[in-house]
Amino acid sequence: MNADRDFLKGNEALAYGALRTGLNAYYGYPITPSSEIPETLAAEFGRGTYPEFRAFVQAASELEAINMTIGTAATGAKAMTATSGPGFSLKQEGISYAAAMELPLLIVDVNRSGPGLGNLGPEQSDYFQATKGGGHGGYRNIVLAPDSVPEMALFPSLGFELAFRYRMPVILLADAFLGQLKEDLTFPEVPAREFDTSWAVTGARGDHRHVLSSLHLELPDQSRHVEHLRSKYEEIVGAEQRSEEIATADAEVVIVAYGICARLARAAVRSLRDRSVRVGLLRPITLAPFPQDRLNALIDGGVRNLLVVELNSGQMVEDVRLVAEGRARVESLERVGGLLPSSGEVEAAAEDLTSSGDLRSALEAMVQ
Amino acid sequence: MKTEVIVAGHGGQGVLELANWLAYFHLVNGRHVAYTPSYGPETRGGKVKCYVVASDEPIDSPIVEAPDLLIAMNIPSLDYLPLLKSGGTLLVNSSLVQEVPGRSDVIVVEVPAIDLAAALAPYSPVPGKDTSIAANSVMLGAVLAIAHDDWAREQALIEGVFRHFLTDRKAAYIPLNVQAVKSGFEFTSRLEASSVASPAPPLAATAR
Repeated sequence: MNADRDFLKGNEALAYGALRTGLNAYYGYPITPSSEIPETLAAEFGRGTYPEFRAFVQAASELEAINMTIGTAATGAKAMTATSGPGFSLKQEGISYAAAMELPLLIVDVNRSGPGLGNLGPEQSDYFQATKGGGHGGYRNIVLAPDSVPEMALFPSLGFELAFRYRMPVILLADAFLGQLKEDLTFPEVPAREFDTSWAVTGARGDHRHVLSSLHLELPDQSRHVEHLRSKYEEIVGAEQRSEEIATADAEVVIVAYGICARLARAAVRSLRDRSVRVGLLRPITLAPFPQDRLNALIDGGVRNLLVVELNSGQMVEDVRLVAEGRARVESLERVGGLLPSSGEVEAAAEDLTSSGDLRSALEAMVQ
Repeated sequence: MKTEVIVAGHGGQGVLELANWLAYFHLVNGRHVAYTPSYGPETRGGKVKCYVVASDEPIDSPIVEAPDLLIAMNIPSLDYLPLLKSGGTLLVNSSLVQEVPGRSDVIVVEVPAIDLAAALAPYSPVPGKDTSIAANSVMLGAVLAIAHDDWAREQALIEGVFRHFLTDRKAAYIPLNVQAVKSGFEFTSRLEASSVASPAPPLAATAR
């Protein structure tokens, strides 16, 4: 390791990651715990360090911000907006329009506690809204879930790559913990990527008429369009599932966790392995498409116990159960309100699912 | 080698800055670091707490559940004392905390940080301005002394840490802060030398 590593908050790292990947425009309305993103971008705007960064607007509302992002994305430029839960709800209408118009844009949600105003603590309760198409109409989009500051820095690049490859909004779902957490990182060298923008509106330059619209008044047209969006997502399900695994090869129990919960799970797995308890971790990196192929492979390979750890009242656990289809026991450890489980609680919950844990519970039941 | 620290106090004491500097000091020493701030909506007076983890290996969880070191800048910070690892160190700002609740299995180091900082008036960039605000830097010096670091070796690194964070207008405060670190280091070193039994603490800030 060398000494020229950076030391940044997750939100700051995300902002610099976006700038280094050639961000052209940012529009947003600040909201804790995501505000360091616009703060960092505002400080860099106009400095000349990132000449491609040509627009920064603190909009009057989230509605303005998402629609400005849409407008810029329609020209083929790299546009981003960032927010937290209440603002993410307000942006859903725009995300639906962007999905319909097949626009590549990056939307960051630094998940705080909800519903309503909630509080500023970390939650993962926007999982459904992010992964199931939170706006109206039927659409799906890619959702990326970093679990460290280095990934907060790296994922804007991956997000834009996927957004342009598939022409769709990509959501980067972080949590309040990751936004505020500071870690050491070395920025990866991101090659400047030129994406295909032949579809973009050009102001009739060269007299090509490009129309980006979400309105298809003829019923068969709309039907074809929705089928097109659906087949595109099916292609993504086949090609873009991403996950990380730790110690799953011989695991009796596999923890499924993302974001800050994956960090707790890493510590729990290490500690349990030190005691020869066969526990592993499957960390979804894409929440959508959900890494169902790897989970299926683990179940096919004999894993019969899954523990989902998440900061909500049970959301990702539904996707895990859908994949498991009754072939594995699926339990969950949930915390809400901005609270986190301790690594000891994660360890105990995982150990309870092992055969020795089962035996102990059975003995305790007999004693009672 | 992993070191886990909780720094606690109230808003306005520079708790987050102290944690920030400590984390960055570990970073320039080649270690992985994680820093997690936690504070209420108030700018001053609210409860502030920060986790710092430094490790030679990549850090699994940034959450500190059982610290090796608790830095208590005020009385309410002692709420975290039950979490301190057995054999760990409680570093107390004795300018504000006169009575330390007993825990026989931990090392207690009492440093009058505000008083030591207030005595550094000659180093104030603004003549006559109270320098007790540098109490957080005094505590940083105490942490280095607890880890048996060598001041002659660390001074340049500490100056580098301050140059990294205290830029523009704040740069004028670098000499004061370096003196404050030195003051805390020297006070704590003398304390350690004079104590009858000084078991080697479990944390080495600069394991090289």
